Amino acid sequence: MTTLRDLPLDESLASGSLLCAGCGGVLLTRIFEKVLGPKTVTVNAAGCMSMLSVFPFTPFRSSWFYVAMASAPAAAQGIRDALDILLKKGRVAKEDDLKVVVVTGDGAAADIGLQATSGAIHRKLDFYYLVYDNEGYSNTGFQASSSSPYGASTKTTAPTALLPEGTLLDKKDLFEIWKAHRPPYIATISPAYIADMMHKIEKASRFAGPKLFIAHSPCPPGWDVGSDLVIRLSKMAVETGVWPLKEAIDGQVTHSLFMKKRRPVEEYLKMQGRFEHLFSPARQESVIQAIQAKVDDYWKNVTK
Amino acid sequence: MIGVRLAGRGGQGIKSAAHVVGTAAFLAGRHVQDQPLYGAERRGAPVTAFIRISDKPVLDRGPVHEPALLVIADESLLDDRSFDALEGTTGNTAVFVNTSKSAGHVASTYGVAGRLITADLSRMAEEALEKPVVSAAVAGATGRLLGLDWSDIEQALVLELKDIRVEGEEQERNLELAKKAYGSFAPLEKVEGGAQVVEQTFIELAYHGPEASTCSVVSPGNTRGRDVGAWSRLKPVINYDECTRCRICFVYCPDSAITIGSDDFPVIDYNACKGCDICYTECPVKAISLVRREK
Ligand SMILES: Cc1ncc(C[n+]2csc(CCOP(=O)(O)OP(=O)(O)O)c2C)c(N)n1
Ligand code: SF4
Ligand code: SF4
Ligand code: SF4
Ligand SMILES: [Mg+2]
Repeated sequence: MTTLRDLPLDESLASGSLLCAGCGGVLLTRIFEKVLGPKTVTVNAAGCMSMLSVFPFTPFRSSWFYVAMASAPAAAQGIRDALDILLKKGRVAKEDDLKVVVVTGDGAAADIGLQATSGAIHRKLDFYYLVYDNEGYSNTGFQASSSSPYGASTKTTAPTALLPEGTLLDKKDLFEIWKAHRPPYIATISPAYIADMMHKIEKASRFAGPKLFIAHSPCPPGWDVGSDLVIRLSKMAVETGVWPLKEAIDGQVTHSLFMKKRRPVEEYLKMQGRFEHLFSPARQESVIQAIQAKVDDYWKNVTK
Repeated sequence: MIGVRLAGRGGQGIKSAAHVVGTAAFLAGRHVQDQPLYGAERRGAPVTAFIRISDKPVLDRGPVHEPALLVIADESLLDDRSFDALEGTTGNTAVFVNTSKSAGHVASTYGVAGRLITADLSRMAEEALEKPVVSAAVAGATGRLLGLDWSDIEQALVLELKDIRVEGEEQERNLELAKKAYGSFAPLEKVEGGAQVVEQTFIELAYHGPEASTCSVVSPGNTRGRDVGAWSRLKPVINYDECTRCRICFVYCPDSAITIGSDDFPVIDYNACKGCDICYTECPVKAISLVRREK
């Protein structure tokens, strides 16, 4: 599966959920489920994607399990262990085995669920882990998470006269935190690069153990961007270098896309209302420069 | 005791409207409770809020199932089969519908029992604010129907607007809108009931095994068929003469609203399309246009 035409026509995620029009997370989940096929069990930590299923309705065609925000990787361990025991006892046939897929937001992944994730990677749990990174607590009204980027406005870090830049802290680098655990496979993905995403999910399936993905996931109401521009925005994130596409296999990092010339980050920032305060009423040059410098600093050492 | 239920769509400001009316009644010295129904409500999705107003402390909790006054801020909800907008209405219920149509038309089209009042608050909001946010108008209209004083509504609205940082000229325009809506009605005669003051009682709960709290749905994909088409006013329409069958629209549609037909052309299911317009923006040959949805 490396071209868009290879994307299965059957929908693993049915229409009719109550999530926002143009939600990046829904698109990512849909593609993920499509590529992995129907034999999955999805474990959802509390967050927007857990609202896909609201009893008695569910868009999932396969099994789905809802769990507290902190605990998705731990629940995945329990499910994996149960499946392994049933397989061993012959109560589940080998061809009926399920892939265990955790889907969580950045808040769950980077904040309250980080220790459960660390534990699962450490125990070499055989699972897929998709973090749709909408850079905030979207489901509860877009408060800041440790994945919110410097300079963004959120419910809890709205710019004020005293602190005009919005979020003061830097985005936590989950990729590097995961990498320090040496799992077999980690990748960053983007909804604007679906073929790359399909390729990476398939590649990951060759490895036993933790297969971890972190995805750029535009949130139209939280980021204050038109729902029709979601794909454009994700593309811009990659082209400005804000969202590097890369993978780490047994700790060895390669970039999936290396640009000789990157667009200025300003073009990405200007598309979103959450950065509007950096441009009006007065331009906050130092903040914009600082954001650009962080991106330049990242790419300075990247050679492949 | 008066029980009020408000229904609208995410983004219209229904929660705020209920809060303004509740606060206004509180400022008038009444006992009140107002709350939105918290769930997966997103922009465009059905949203419900409740108000209870009484001269005695309000002990009831939860949804108002049999409202004395039902306020429907978006007419299309009456058409939504998965949302029971008229739940619990009887011949005594006062029903307000925000619509450009007449009360007679609405009553016969949707089978509304009870006293029906209509007004086009959306047009008022568009004129005053240049956007379809009807919270101030709904607050003004609901407050008036309940017989609240304008000064209390005004004070409550200022508090609410300040809370969401709407100040200056924008605040003025919202106040004017509310006042205009308030002035468009007469107070209802006799709005009573819809909720009851229950005495505090303790109920013995019998033991149920863990299976009682472990619900399972064995109808996978059953959200399909839920009509989310009313979430937007525009719909994407494919011009098949231009379409190159590249499937880009199919790939990017988050809501699985596009399928590929046997002739390889994409087909849009308008009940499933929320109108995000991603397909419109991403179609490389501009074969998709946006067309107003007819009601
Ligand atoms: C322990 C705990 N704290 C708070 C909540 C309330 N809550 C539900 S979803 C959510 C936001 C989760 O953020 P994230 O993981 O980034 O997912 P998103 O909402 O952005 O999809 C919060 C705070 C909860 N369910 N559990
Ligand atoms: S709030 Fe954001 S992340 Fe949540 S459903 Fe809406 S678009 Fe998706
Ligand atoms: S994106 Fe445009 S050209 Fe491609 S299949 Fe869809 S409508 Fe046809
Ligand atoms: S407007 Fe959005 S939901 Fe509707 S068909 Fe296009 S991509 Fe799908
Ligand atoms: Mg989030």
